[in-house]
Amino acid sequence: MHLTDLEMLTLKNAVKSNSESEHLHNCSACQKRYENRLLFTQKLAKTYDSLEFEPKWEALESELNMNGDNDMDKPKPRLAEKWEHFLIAFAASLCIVVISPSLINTLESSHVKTKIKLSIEENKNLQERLSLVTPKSPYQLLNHQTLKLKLQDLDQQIQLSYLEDVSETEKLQLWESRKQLLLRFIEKMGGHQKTRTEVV
Amino acid sequence: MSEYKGFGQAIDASVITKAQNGERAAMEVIYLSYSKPCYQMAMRLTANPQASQDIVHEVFLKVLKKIKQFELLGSFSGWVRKIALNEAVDYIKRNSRSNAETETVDELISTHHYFEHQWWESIRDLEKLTAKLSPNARAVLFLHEVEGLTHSEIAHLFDKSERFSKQMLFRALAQLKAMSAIKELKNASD
Repeated sequence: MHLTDLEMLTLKNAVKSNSESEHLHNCSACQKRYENRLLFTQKLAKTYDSLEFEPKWEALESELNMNGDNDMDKPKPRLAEKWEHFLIAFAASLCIVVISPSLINTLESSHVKTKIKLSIEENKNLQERLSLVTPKSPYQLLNHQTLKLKLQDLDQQIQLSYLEDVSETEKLQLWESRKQLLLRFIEKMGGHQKTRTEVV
Repeated sequence: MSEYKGFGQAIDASVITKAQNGERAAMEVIYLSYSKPCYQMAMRLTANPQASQDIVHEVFLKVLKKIKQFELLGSFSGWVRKIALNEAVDYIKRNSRSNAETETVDELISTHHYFEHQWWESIRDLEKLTAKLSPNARAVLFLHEVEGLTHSEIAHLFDKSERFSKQMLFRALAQLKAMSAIKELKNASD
């Protein structure tokens, strides 16, 4: 009985068992298949080898400068301190919502404005739930940090949307994106409580 | 001209230490050393140039912000590669519909025909064909075959089961083989 394709595929990335090694040693057909399998991998590994890539160091450097070197110098912060930056950004977004004259002067339907208010409320609730989440593994911590960066980015976009007076629909989309980002992360970390607008 | 080594390229420990102390020149050396292999990996997994550029940007934001947490005893390129893998897979998870696990792995286990012949030799532009694979299948194919991850590691990255990883790998193989057969037929009739 020859090695199956699944066994062939697994052989390369895992330690061969005694029976698999023995079979490969004694079966010329499977040896040939194993050589073919390695050739297939080599061909795949060459894809995008001659790809042209344009480094964008300046864009990265300016973003690092914007965020400041203080992020690098801080020791690993406690949970509350970890969320300090984007909580401030979130608060700034809320302030702009409250004081922005565009809210008063907008000609769009009150339905969209009501949806925005609801979405902001849900964001606040999700924010509170998030502050109770503690990453338990390095993988979860990495996701935690990724979320923080994405929220900072979204908060900046939200602030800009009010400052530049974009349409209410666009503002709602940004708030909803923020909400979905928080929801997905909380669900992944094991917080399964639904918000008011979610359909069961 | 020095041979391109991708993530295999080593960085002097003094460069890492300088970057940890905030020296921008050292950070730039790190970025220039690993941004291209990071981009290539992202392109293999996503087949999307713009997304791959974004992934590289996010990866190095994280690398350079967290660089103080890196301990010099470990492999720096391995650490960067791990962050890049996570970022690329996160992108795929956000941007692809989840595949229902409708096929049983038992059906896949019994096949013997994928490596009897070198059917891939007729493919001149493997990049174009792999770009046509479904996002999850393409990602698993490259993660398993090129990045050398096990099904268990791939399952962990995707928050799925090992069965998902095996299913996606076979789906990729089946689709590639079918596409190469169609291409051969087309070439023969031309």
